Amino acid sequence: MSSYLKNSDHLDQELVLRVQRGDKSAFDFLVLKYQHKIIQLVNRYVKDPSEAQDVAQEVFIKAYRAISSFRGDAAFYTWLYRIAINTAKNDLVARSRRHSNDQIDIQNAEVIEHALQLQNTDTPETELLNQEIVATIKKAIDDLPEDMRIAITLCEFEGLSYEAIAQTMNCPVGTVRSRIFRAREAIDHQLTPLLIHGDFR
Amino acid sequence: MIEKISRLLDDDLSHDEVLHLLQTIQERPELKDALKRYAAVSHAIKNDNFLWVSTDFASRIQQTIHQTSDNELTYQATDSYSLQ
Repeated sequence: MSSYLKNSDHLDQELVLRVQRGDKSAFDFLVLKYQHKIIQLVNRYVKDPSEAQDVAQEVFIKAYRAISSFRGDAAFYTWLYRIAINTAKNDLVARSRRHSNDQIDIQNAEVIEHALQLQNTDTPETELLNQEIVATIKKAIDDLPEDMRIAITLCEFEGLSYEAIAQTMNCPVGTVRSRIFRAREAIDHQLTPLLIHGDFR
Repeated sequence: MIEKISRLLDDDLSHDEVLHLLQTIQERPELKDALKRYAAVSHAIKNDNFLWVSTDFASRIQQTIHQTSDNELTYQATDSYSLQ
């Protein structure tokens, strides 16, 4: 994992350098690489998947516009993470202002965040489908052969690297890669009909 | 190639492999869809919540940045951001 992190940071630096030199398509790679992490991070604040995607888009656009000020003192994701947190908090303040005429200071964002998190923006249908999807994923994991179930569990729940999983399961790293991939394929196979039915495109 | 998407999610690819995969994903929508599904499932396993990335998420960002002029970039970079 540690060698990957060096690789990952190195790749990010290379992509950032390309963007700074005017290669806009290099930024597309950074978006592709980090979009899920940033949407998930922002969603923890705004608690509204649709709003989270709008805010996450704003995060990437802000990052792009400020990228010439990025000097690589921190890892790119650390820098992006901070933009995401600030943008999500600003969004919470803006949303709160839309709900109230009171002037609210940015420092109150934590309080506002808590209040807004109490709002449930999902429709009952969306919530039901979400529960159904999560239940399907859990059942798909339960139905996996034991070696695949253990591998995907150690990877997703425990966050272990492939090397650590290989040591735990006493097998080669290549076997771990294969078990995790096949587990994901099996889950995906169970999930696809629901995604088509739910019009997730 | 889809196995590499699984490995990308788990930070198991080398620098060159990531770069090559990202380039390939840009050219093959079915790989982009697989990345979206795998990432959404990974999030759902950890958080009991299925978070779906809309199809036009990246393209809307792409559209905006490709319309951004270099002058605007310079201005924004020296603006009031204190990101580091």
